[in-house]
Amino acid sequence: MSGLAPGEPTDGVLLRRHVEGNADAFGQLFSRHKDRLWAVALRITCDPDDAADALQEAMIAAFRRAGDFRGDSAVTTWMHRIVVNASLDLLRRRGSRTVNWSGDPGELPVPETRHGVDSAAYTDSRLDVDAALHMLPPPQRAALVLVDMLGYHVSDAAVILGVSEGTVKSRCARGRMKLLPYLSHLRANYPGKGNRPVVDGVSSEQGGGA
Amino acid sequence: MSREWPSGWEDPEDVELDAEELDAETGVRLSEVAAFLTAVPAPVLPGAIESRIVAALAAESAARAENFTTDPAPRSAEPDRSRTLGPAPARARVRRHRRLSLRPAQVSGALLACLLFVGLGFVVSLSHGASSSSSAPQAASAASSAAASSEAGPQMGYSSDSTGRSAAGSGPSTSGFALTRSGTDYQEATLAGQVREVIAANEKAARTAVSSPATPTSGPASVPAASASATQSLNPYALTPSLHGCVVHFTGRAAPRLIDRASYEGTPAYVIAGARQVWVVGLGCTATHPHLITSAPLGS
Repeated sequence: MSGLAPGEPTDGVLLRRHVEGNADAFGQLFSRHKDRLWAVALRITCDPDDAADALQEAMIAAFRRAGDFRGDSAVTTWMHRIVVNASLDLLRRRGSRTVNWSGDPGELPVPETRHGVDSAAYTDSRLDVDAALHMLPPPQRAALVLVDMLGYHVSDAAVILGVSEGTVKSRCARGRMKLLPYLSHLRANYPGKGNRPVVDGVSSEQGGGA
Repeated sequence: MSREWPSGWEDPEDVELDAEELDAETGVRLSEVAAFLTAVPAPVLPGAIESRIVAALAAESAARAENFTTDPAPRSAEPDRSRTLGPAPARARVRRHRRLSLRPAQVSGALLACLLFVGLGFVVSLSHGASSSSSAPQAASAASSAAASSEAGPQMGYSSDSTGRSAAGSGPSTSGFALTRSGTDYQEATLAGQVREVIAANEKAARTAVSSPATPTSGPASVPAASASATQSLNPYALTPSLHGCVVHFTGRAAPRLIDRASYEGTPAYVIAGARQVWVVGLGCTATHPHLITSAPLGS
């Protein structure tokens, strides 16, 4: 497992230790992947408060149900799936609706201020992206976040979302089409270097193949 | 899965995009959209939220440790192994073996010990939820509540899908303060007095329960009728992080004397009581959007 210091336990080992009663193992697991899990929750819910709720619920659920983990996917894939489902469930409970948009970028609602979420570092482009993402139906948004923004391979995203690879590709393509007119004016000003995920140490650089 | 989407969530699941729909130019532009999204920096988990989640996990861990030391019987939330393809955890195997070897007398003893523990935990949480000025016991109360929710399984909305589908459910999550559901319809003119009554009823119920821990069902019967409803419905639910943030927004670091999911002038609301002040807020109250309806001095 690349990316780990020699002797550092793998995700699978940490999860097994947690199931066997180790009080610290799950905390280490959370600490190891917290930023990526947060990114998933935040991008899907489009709201820091909702993302915090979803991530906390997801981590407690994962803590309690670790014994159910079957090992037929990477631990991080399993954790991401729980976070995605918690985020979508939360949006469902809150009766979330997508934003109706005429196509004029000026009419898009600006997301709420990201209190405590590196607000100073949020550029206009990022706010634009967040606003644009808010237009997408949550299932489409989740696919786009996983594949395009977090760099998951379509097959991994399909496992996380519990749908077929074809469905992931369709959702991504349709999501991109919806975003196209809005993000086109930003293309000349790419916000910076992207972040590619590491799934149990294996980078998914080939993601985005939709 | 698609049938679960609310209206307005447009489900493209059944309609796969035909590649021929896209001309070459559009394909290139979509690739640029993907490249743009890829280049957006990922956010970093804020320290405050991380701390909150770590605290919630610590409470879970503490609750789990207590369960394992005091409850040798299998938990009702133990997964259905017939649906689990992987190897069962070592501890689960040990516990299952122990269950098989228990005699009826041992089962009765374990059950009695478990009931006593749960009863004592409930009494302690009542006591601290009503009058404590320390957040630590309340965190323990919340942990107990979370553990209870874990035992109940379906209340947390867990599905049987071990890969995590709908694993988070709709139940409350642990955040540190206890939530009361008194059913009171607070009125503007009598707000402070009603709050004091509920607080007093809670405290009295806690004292009654402490004085007769072996017969917890006798507690509410000894409470005056006027406060019986508040006492009977008292149950220390854990707060969601949003509500926790809402409460902290008003009370600061001081533990609230009451967080009551009730109604105000007929409208569902949370009533939060600090040492000297009462706040009535909407159900959507968060730290950033407090949604304050009214407030008043608590008085004495």
